[in-house]
Amino acid sequence: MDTEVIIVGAGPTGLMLAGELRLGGVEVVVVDKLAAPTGQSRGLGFTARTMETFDQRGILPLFGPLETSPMGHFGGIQFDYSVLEDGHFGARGIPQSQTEAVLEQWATGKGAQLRRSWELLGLVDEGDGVRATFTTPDGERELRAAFLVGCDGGQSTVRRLAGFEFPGTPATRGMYLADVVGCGLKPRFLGEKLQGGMVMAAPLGPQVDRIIVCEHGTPAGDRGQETTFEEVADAWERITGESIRHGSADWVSSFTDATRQASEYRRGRVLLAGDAAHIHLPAGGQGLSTGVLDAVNLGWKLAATVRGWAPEGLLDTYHAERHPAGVRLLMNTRAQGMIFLGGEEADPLRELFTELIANDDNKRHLAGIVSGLDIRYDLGDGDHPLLGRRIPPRRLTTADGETSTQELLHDGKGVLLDLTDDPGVRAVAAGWPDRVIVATGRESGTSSLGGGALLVRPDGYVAWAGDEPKDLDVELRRWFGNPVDVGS
Amino acid sequence: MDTRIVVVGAGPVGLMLAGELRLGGAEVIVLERRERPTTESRASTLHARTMEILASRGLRAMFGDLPHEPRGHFGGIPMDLTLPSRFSGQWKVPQTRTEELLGRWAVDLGADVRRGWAVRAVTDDGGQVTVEADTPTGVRTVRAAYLVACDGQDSTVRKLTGAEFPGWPATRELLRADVRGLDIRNRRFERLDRGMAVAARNPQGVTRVMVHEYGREVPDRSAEPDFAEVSDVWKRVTGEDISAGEPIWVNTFDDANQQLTSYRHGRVLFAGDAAHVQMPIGGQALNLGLQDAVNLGWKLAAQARGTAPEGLLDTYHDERHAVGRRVLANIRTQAKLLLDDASVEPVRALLAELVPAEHNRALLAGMISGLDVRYPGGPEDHPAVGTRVIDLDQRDGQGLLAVPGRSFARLARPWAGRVRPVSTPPLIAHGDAVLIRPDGHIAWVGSAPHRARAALTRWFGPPAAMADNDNPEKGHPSGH
Repeated sequence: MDTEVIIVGAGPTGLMLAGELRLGGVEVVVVDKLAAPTGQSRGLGFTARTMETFDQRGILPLFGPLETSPMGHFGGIQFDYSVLEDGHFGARGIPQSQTEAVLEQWATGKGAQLRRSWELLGLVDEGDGVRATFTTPDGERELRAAFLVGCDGGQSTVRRLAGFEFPGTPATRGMYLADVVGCGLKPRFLGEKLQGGMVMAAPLGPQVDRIIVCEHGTPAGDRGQETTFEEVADAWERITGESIRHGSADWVSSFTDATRQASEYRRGRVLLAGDAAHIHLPAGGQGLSTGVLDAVNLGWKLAATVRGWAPEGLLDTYHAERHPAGVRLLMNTRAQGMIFLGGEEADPLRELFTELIANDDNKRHLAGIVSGLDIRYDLGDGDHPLLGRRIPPRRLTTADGETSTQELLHDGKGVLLDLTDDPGVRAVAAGWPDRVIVATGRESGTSSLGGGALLVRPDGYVAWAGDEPKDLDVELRRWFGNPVDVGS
Repeated sequence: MDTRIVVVGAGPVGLMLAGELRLGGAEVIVLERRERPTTESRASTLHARTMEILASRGLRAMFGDLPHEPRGHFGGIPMDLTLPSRFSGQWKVPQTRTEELLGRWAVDLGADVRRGWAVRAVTDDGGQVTVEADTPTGVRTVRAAYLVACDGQDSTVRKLTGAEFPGWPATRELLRADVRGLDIRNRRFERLDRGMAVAARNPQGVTRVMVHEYGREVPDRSAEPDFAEVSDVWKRVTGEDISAGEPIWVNTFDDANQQLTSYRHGRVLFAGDAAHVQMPIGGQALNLGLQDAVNLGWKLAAQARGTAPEGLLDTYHDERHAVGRRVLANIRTQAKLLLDDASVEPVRALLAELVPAEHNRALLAGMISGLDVRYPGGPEDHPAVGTRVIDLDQRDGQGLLAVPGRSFARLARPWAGRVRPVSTPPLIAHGDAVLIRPDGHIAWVGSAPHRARAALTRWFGPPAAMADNDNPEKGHPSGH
């Protein structure tokens, strides 16, 4: 073996996964076909849950000051996401290039190797490992590893070479995305629907505006075709009547509403994550965020598998948990596309959603979907409200001082959070000292975590809640394998 | 004074209106093109608000025991329709039966229903309306103070007057047939790969099938399709062969969605499908039409009798156009949810998550049942103004002044024959008087006598001269 895991693609998903694997003690090589990051930024932010996820790993400070927006939208219908507990519309105005730079710094700092100008040519799953060949600046190279993960985007080469099915609905409309300079546009932060289509404009800096142009009846273009500023400017003028031809563009690109999802996220020793596993209409920064959450779900499971302590079936829970999350991603982005981008024909539907969104419970429901805060993995039948859900960020007071649910997860280990100072559960969890941190404390301020003890997985999701040591033992074995005194 | 009103069309809406006009003291002639009532039963659902109105008119009993279904659907997403009403849910009555009963009621009240009269010309000279009709005895002419077109979605009057009728042309169609001798399983709004199918077999062994094929263009229909077309589409959508069945009748309906810009054109008014066409999803079309009639009847009768306050008749358009707009919008959404191809699945899935929440269920159930109708009040009005009251007897078609004390009862006397004081348990709050319109909606709430008089005048016209007080039934039809 040349390394333990190969990650193809050094975007946010691949870099996040690389860091997660390093936390799990796994050797990892990240390859990317580009010689340097593009500097272009399709995504301009990430969701509330992704922000929490970065916080769980201590990455958040690397971004510097972040602004979050309480106001968001669903299908273009604006509302306040903060009606949802811990809810907001995410960190906004963060160029994807910055997110990638931060994650690269974090992952390589943890020991991930990053090789640029490496382009995947072929891969073979040999049953006990994967052999992959690349074109590199030094000619063709081959790497052998235990697993290979495709984080190489919507046009994933890994997906194609490994024979993943990618069913879904083809593009029905094309849209333009561009950063234009010197056009003097008025802000249309959440988009404006006009007769001819929808336009959005948001200032990125002095003179620079991010624009999105979605013209009714624009066919889904050929992806291979280069988009020009002239095309974008013409479409802008047809819809708004405003000429932007006096300006120029930093970059222009096109995208579509094509929606597809890999029918399986794992085939043998090859896995997919991020856009390689699901493509959809961009809406609310969910693409980047879902990729990061895929990576954080997969990382510790794959590391456990490589390290050899993974219980039977652990790696397959990646597909079992993240495929349904992807189904909801695709569902909500397609629904938003119909509500936001449909012509007059969709007006009554938009009116209905506007009426529904006036209600706070519906705001919470939709904010939960878009922010990622509503994710609930099917982790068993218990009736604890947090079971299968994320542990919310809360301050904790322990014998060693103040900490938080987020800080306890910085090392990427499981956490037994003993909220009632119960020696019984602590004694059980002591059998996994290398994999599970035991913390006794209570919430600072108002209690929202409930009583008893919580077993939190490395990805921040609550696998068990209760006070019965026997049950805890079962769950620890289910997620973390055998205890040291038995397994070693 | 000429209090005569011509109603064109003796369907449920025309007959309901005829009865209402008679209750209001107008002379009514109903002209119906067909020589005999139709035997086809298109609409068969009465919703809660319609049932409440029928009960308030004392008509509930004559409908007898009706099959009741508390559930309904929104665009095929099943939901419970239960709301605070004695009549929540759907009540099943064949349209032929509804017409028969409403017709009997209207005729008993003195409406003159003339069958075999096909309207061919309508002239509004500003002072009266002249209607020319082909009749079994040749062309006949009727003059009236007002004409109301209740002649359905293909309204002759609408065409003759050239009234502006904007909206959405049909893009989707449902084929429907009642078939004997089929042995297929029941299907409830089943969305399949190629279309949507419904099958329901009744106890008499007749199966009603409805089918839509995604993306199929709506053919130009000058006549109903033959059963072969239905069975072909059914085969393509479900894979089942029903061609051996014996069709009893076959028809189609489409999703054309159009509404008159104005429900009133001078002395010509429109109600029901003549004023708005929509896909009859969930039985809302018939109910919308019946409620148009109940909103219009008392206002037009007052207008014809000369007691109507200025502007009262125009509140018909203002109130019912807005209600119609909302219903037509929800029907467009439902048609999309029900009959679009797989592209609509994500929105359906999302709504299916939201619909069960009580707030949402109640919102949609309110729309479908008509119980959410609230006519706008003024900024000074009590918040209950415009909402409906329930369970009050208004079989005489009069307004009610629900009073907290005897002084209010005396206060209503100059409006005798138009407004009847009733003593009820407090409807809103203790001490408040509530003025209720003949259609059951609240016109005013308050406790100040001078405001009560103003409200009575605003809705029921000026008080009668003292001489009229001795004869409160003046001008009122007998036999109610």
